[in-house]
Amino acid sequence: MAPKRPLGLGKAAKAKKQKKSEISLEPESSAQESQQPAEFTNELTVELSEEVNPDDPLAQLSALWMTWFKSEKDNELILNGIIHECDRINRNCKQNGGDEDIELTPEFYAIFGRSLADLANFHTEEDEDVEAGDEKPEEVSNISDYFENSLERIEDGLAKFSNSALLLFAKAEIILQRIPLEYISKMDMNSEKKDFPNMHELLQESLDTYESAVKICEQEKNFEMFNNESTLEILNSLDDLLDIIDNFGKQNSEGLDSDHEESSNEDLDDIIEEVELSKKHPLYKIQNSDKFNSFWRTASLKHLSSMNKTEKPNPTLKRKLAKKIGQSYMMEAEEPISIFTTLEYDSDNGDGEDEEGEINGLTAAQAQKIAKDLVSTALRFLADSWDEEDPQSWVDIAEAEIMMGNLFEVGSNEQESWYGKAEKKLKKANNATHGKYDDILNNLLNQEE
Amino acid sequence: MPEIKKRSNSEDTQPLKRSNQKKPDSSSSNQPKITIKQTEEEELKAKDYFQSHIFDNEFKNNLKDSIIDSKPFQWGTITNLIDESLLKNVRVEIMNEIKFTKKETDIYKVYQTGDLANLSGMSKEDLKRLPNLYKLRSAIYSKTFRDYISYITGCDRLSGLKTDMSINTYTKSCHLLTHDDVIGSRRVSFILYLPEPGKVWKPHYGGSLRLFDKIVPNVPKSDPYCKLTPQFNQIAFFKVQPGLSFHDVEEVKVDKQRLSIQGWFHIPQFGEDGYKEGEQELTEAKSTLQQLESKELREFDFPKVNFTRVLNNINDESFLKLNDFDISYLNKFMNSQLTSFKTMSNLSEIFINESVIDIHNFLNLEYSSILQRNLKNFELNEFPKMPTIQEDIKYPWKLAIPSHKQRYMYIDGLQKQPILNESEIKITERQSLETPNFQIIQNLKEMTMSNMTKNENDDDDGVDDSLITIKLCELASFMRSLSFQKWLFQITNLKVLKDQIIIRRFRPGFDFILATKLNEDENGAGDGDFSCLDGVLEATLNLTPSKGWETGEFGGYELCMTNDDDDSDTDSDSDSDSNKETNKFNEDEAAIYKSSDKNDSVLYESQACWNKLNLMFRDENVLKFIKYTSFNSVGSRWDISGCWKCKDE
Repeated sequence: MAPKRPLGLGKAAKAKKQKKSEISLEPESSAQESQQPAEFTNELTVELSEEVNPDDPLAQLSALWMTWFKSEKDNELILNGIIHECDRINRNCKQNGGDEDIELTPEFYAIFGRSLADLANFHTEEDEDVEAGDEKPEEVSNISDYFENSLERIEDGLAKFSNSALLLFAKAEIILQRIPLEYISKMDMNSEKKDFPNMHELLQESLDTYESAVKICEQEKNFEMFNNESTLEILNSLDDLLDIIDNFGKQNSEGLDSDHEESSNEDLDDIIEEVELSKKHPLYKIQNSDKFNSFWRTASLKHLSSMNKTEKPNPTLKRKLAKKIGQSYMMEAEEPISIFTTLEYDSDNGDGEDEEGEINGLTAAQAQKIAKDLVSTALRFLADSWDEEDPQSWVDIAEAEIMMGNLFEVGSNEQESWYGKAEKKLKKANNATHGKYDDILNNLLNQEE
Repeated sequence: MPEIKKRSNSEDTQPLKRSNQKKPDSSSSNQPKITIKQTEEEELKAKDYFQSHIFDNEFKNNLKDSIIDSKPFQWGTITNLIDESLLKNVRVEIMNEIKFTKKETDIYKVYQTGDLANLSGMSKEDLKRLPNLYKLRSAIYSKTFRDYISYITGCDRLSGLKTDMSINTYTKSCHLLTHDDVIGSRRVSFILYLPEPGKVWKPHYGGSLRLFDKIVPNVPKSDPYCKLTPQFNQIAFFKVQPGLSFHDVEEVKVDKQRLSIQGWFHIPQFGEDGYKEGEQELTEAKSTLQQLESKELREFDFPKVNFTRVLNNINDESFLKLNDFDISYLNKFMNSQLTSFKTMSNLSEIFINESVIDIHNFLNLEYSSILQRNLKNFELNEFPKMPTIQEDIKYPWKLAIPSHKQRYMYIDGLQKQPILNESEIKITERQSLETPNFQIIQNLKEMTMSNMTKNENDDDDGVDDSLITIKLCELASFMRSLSFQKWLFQITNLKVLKDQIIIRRFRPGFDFILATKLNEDENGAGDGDFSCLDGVLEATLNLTPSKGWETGEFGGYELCMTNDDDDSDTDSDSDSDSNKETNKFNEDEAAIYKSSDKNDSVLYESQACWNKLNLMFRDENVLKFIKYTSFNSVGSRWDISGCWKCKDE
């Protein structure tokens, strides 16, 4: 029988190993918009959506995968659990001679493949631990094995469901994960093509696979596929990969990120050491080609428009994607902005009369026009990234507005108007974040004076 | 979940010291230690390790004068102290050779060196891999520099034998809260800064050294008096003055490394120049006394412990049953499942066994959605902007002080209590404390709100605190209600006699409560009222509307630990001689943070979150704290804390 009165937290802990006691009540309304209890415990909580039968192993697997996918992805145990469950289902299902009545789906193979690829993240150092000449223990899998196994599962699935967009997306994503993790991590400035698989071809394979998946979705009018985070993640992985390749070999000084917001481009050039890859380098071809960046932009625009064809586009995903697209236009605008400002304000004459001057074949007026168009497009997308609860999204727009202001004549009405809009947003953001943007705001106010 | 270490009883707050039970595990630590005593050769070289300008007489005397005139206590700083290339090499050695580990307690978050916790213990192995660091140590503890520091600070001789310095690095979100460095035989504290050379460390990066003036000795003011933005090769130093030398390390706000070597000059040891028999013991005794006084001094603590007797007929258990009116009142606020007999009996069973329970979705959806929306809207559009200095906090909000114990904003339902300086506090102390009345505050706010006309703020989206204050006061009133007390009885089987309810806001970049156990006034029967049970029933209604707190990186979490020091003291009596030796070696070392590698001293932890009620019966040895809330957190931590003394029967 329970004691009549609580012992007290300290004494209860001494009496036995303390358990955290939690009770989570259903919010009373049936409206599901209310948040789940935000718990942070070591215990794994798997949320099953209401319509899922908890006795259905595939539904459980899917829930477990989503738990992993949405987590910080730092708990290998969850991943091992998923893989064991995939193995078990694979062995026991009737089609593989077992006695469980489970019909393997494309989703099953996609989860199997992607979880094996994610597991590679936890075993990146195993190869390094084995010194050259050492005999490698047989059972130790290396990173390559994880990816091979992972792709094998996807191919198994594709053998049964050749027209599955889900599986093709999964394959594209796995290749995009493999390139940096298995190959780039082993490269240095002196690496040569001959020692690695062809990176350009591998990347191309991933993107071709992605495109064929997109085509299938379009044919099937399955736009919901673009309304989930997992599909968007492929474009994010591509973006990250192109970034890694772009910056390969460059040494950043400490804490570049935090200063980025207040550093001018010239400062950044000082901070990042420029290096050039040799033509023999496995990443040379990708680094010196613009087609993958164009691919990313086109695919992202298409993703956004497909998402808009769904009944209820996911607002968070939409904001994220719009922000990335907007930022990509801002990046594209950097060069013409820099040409315009150099020709307009930094010319040797200093009197602004150097109208004949050209940089990269552009006059000041041409660069100004291109830059204005790009920033204006960027602003269109950034407007869609406005998040009432995220001051950083306001700042992103404000920064683009300042950039736009810079493209007009100093002191002109247009310039003042753009600065004014930016100032209002920055003040709001600075207030909401108790002074995080003081510096940017002060710079703008000084500029206006 | 961040690694949580428990501080020892020592009130000292310096992070970077050897923990007394940690077995040295690096190979270097088992090596014979190199003698600290400088050789003549080293002594001769020492001067060359410094930049020559500092020995210039005019420079030296100007510095001395500036220290005499310095405020809020005697301190000084020298830029370009060490030979530039030596210090750059030291930095390279540290970055390449030394591994840092994140350590977090209630008072700091910092990256500490693991195997070289205190540079006084450098071995021959260390010397091989850290030759420049060794040179730097020789320089700092050379007679030349010790005499220099003695001269400019006007303090007595300093020990060259007892060296005491360590390396730590503050990265984004690292901080060290207010403390006075007083412990053992320390005479002068110093910090040599090594952020990235060739770059200016800007004020908005954070990480500055902030000095605090006192309200009275042992009680620092809440706002810093001044701050020093550290640059590469700059040293800051101050005389360790019991109850006066309060300082902190402002949180680093950006993704940069603020590396530093910090340490102390101690009073001369036996056999050294300037050694005075008995001085060590006297200084240590003074330090201990000061710590005790500081700990016991509660006159300057706000909010006051102020329990109010509740009006109910607790002797009649039938009275404590919830009737239809109670239930309908409670359901205005609470999730209606909580007033069902079945749920109450489930909760009660858990609580009586565990003494703690977390109830998610405590407030009903309608009430909580409106409140959350209002709080979010207020945080994003707060006008006037969030108060950052004491004077800006306007009634009914108040500031919790003193800053070496706590800092946060609160409403306690009581009258105005001016506490800016000693005389205000002395007068406030003498005021009668009325019974808290959140309802009146709510009504007053409602009146002023309806009378308010929009003015110059018209075209802004600014939102003042009226609406959220009204809402929070309404909830505080609800927590003081008879119906809620009856509900508490249903869950806890405890009959409440006295209560204290406080609405709290922990602002990003400012607020925290350090770990404390219940003091006499707080503990049930501690104030001499033996009708009260030992221990208290406590509740925290978590009302943080923003997201992103789950990992604890932003701080703001609530944590309880056991306080079994008495037991460990007893255990140490039976320790082996070598352990005794270790304890002795460490007894005057600063922050001896007990390592609890298994974290088994943590009894309860709860991240800041939305709409969760935590109930616990807290016994007197349970330490509780609210972790400092990071500047980079999305918003404030909000909660309503309740504390009830219950009937002993």
